[in-house]
Amino acid sequence: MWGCVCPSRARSRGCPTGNLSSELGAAQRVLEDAFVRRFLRGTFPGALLAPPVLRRRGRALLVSAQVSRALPPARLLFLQGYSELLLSALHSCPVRIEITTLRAPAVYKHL
Amino acid sequence: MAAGCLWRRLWQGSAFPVSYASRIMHKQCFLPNSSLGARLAGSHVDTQEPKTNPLVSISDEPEILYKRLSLLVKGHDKAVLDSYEYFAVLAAKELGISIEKVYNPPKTIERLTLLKSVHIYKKHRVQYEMRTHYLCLELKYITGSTAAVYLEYVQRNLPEGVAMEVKRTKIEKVPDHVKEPVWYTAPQVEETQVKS
Repeated sequence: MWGCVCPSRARSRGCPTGNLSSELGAAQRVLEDAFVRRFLRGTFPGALLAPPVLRRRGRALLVSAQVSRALPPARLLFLQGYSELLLSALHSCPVRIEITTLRAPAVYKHL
Repeated sequence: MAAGCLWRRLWQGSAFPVSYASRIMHKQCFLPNSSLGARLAGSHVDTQEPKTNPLVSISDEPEILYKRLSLLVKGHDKAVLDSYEYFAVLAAKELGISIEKVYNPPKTIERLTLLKSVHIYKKHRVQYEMRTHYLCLELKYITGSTAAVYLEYVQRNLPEGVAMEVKRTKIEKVPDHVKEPVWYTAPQVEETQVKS
C-alpha cells in the first residue's frame, strides 16, 4: 500500500496566530489591532471606559468594548453597526463588536 | 392506521436505504393515535418519491481512506491546550473515531534580547520570550467524510490564539503496473541485437 502525506494548514485563510512559532502574519495583525483600537477611540469619543479586548476566532475579529451610559441606545447601536460595517470592509474579514454599557469603569483589582 | 399506510407507501416508493425523514415517520407511529390520525386523515401525501434529507448527500465516488490523521495544535497557554485536548478526545470518542495516541511534544521558546534604553547603555538589556506549547492528536483508520465532519467541528471550536496543522496519510490502491516485476512480462530481447 502506498501512503501519501498531504500536509494542509487547517488554521489558514487568515486566522492570525502570528506570534506562534512557524506561523506568519504577526506584523499584519499588530497593524490591524492598532487601527481598530484607534478607530474605536474616535467613534466612541470619551465613552470608551477601557481598552477594547480583541480576539480572533477563525477569520472573524471579535471586539469586546465597555462603553459608558452617556450615549442614548439608538445612537450606540448605530455607531456599533457603522463601525462593524466599515471595519469589515477595510480589513476584508468579518468584524463583530460586542458592547457592554456600564456606569463606571469595572474595577479588577483594588491596590 | 393512516400513519402506517403512509409509512408503507414511503417504504415501497424508495429505492434508497431508510432515510432520515422516514425514520422520523416511523417514530411518529408510536405517538397517541387519536391526534395523529385526525391530523393525517385530512392531509395529502403529495409525492410518491422518497423524502431525502437535504443535509445528507449520497455520491457514487469511492471514499478516500486515511491511515492516519495527525493534528498538531499550537498555543501560548498550556491550560487552553489541555482543555482543548479534553474536548477533541471527547468529540472523537462520540463519533466513534479510534485515537492512536495523544501526546505533548516539547515546547519551543523563541527569545529576543533587546537594549533596555532608547539611547546608549549597551550593557543593560531586556529579554523577551515567546513560548509555543504543542499538542499532537493522532487518529487512525478514518474515512474521508468522517474526517471532514470531525475536522470541521473541531476547527470551528478552535480557541482564539491557537493554531492547528493537519497531516493526512492516505491509503491508495497499489497501481497495476507495479504489481509484477517488469522482467517477467516484458518481451524477450533477441541475442543478435546484444552482440552488435
